[in-house]
Amino acid sequence: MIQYRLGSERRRGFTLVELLVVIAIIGVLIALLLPAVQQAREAARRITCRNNMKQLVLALHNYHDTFLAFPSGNMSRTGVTTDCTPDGDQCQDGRASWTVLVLPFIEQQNLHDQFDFSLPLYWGFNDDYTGTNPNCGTNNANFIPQTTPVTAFHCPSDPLASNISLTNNYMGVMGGDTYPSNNNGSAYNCRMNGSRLNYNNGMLYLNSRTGFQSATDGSSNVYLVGESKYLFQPNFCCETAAWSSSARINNDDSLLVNIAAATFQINSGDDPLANEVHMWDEMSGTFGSHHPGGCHMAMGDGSIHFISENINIDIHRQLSKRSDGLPTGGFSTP
Amino acid sequence: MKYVPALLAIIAALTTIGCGSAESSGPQRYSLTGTVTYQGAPLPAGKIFFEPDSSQGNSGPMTMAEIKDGKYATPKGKGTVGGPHRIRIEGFDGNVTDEHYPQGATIFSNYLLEEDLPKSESVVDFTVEKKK
Repeated sequence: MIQYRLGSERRRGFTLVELLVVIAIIGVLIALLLPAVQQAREAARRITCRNNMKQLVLALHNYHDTFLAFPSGNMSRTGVTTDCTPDGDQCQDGRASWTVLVLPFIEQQNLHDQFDFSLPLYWGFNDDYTGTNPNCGTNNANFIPQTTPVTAFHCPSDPLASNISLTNNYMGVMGGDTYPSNNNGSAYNCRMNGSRLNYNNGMLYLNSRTGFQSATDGSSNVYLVGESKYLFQPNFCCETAAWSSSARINNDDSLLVNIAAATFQINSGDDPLANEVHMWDEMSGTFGSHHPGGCHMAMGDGSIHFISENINIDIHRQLSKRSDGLPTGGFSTP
Repeated sequence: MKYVPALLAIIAALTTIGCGSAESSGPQRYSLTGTVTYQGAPLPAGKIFFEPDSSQGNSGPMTMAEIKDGKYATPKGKGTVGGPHRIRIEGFDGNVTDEHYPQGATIFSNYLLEEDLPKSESVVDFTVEKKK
């Protein structure tokens, strides 16, 4: 015989323990989800970052199609590729960098037209970009276009690259090698204190005029543009630079801007988000990004590769040289 | 209520697992610490760079460490790969008088030496013998 128990059941509320268990489970699920959401957001930013780099490399290719050469990485009034000394006047000697010269090819013809290329371009600014540093005045017609933000130069993974930022996360590659054994940071006498490097064995250097024919290693084996987080920003020590900065030509106190050399390991050096950090040693010799584990580098053929920060330093340097004749096996891309 | 501590422990454990960092790729690296001596005294400030010496068959990433009061330590997770290395030391006097020189005036900028570094976490001391 089957007996049925009936009757005594009634509806009741949750006990405190049950409520806590539910809240705890929800908490755990959110805790598991949040890092995944953050990673997805960073992945999206990384793709945008890579796309911006691709647009710049295509712009360089179109520039080459038009003028039969890549733009100069930096330009100076004298046009000498191996020396910073001839004029030594930092208010008068700087001319357009590659970042300014490619403007018509990234849909910025209007901004390009505002520049007067017979006048010098400034290399440094004060922290709020209302004046120049060193003080070269602001009367030059190039001051206003130089301090106009261009988001095409921003990598969204860089917390400093807000919409109104004047930073540039994409440096032309001027070459690279082991740290020079003399004190001059390469063949020419431009270095002061710290690792300010000057190379002319890459694709975009001081007063360069290279083309695809210059990359005898093969354009797919030579860096053209690399990612950087080290361009002098308002939160850094001392002077501040912009995407439009020219070279600073000042005898042994010179500095190339918006181009960099592959001499130090990717992502080595100080943290650019620290306060009043000093980047003289990083800007011209180090590539880096805020992506975990490495940074993007664009080859001469327009392909973009994510290069690990653990790359063999010799291969990194070989890839920066346009005609060293050395094989570059062993680097791979995900 | 007696379950609450246990629940908290489980949440903490799961959160820790969920936030664990990914395995870093690349060669095995060994952290390196030690001292740098210049003219018999600790070098006040500077930088030390370790590059695998490819002419002796070594390869891998380069590493840089700051020297402060004669001591250096490679950054966390970015030690050397061990084996033959070219080492370069920059020395500064540590007296900051100009913001452009954060480590003070240069004593020497390019002291080079070669060393076979151990393939384990270790302490290696360097002596800068003369001004170069």
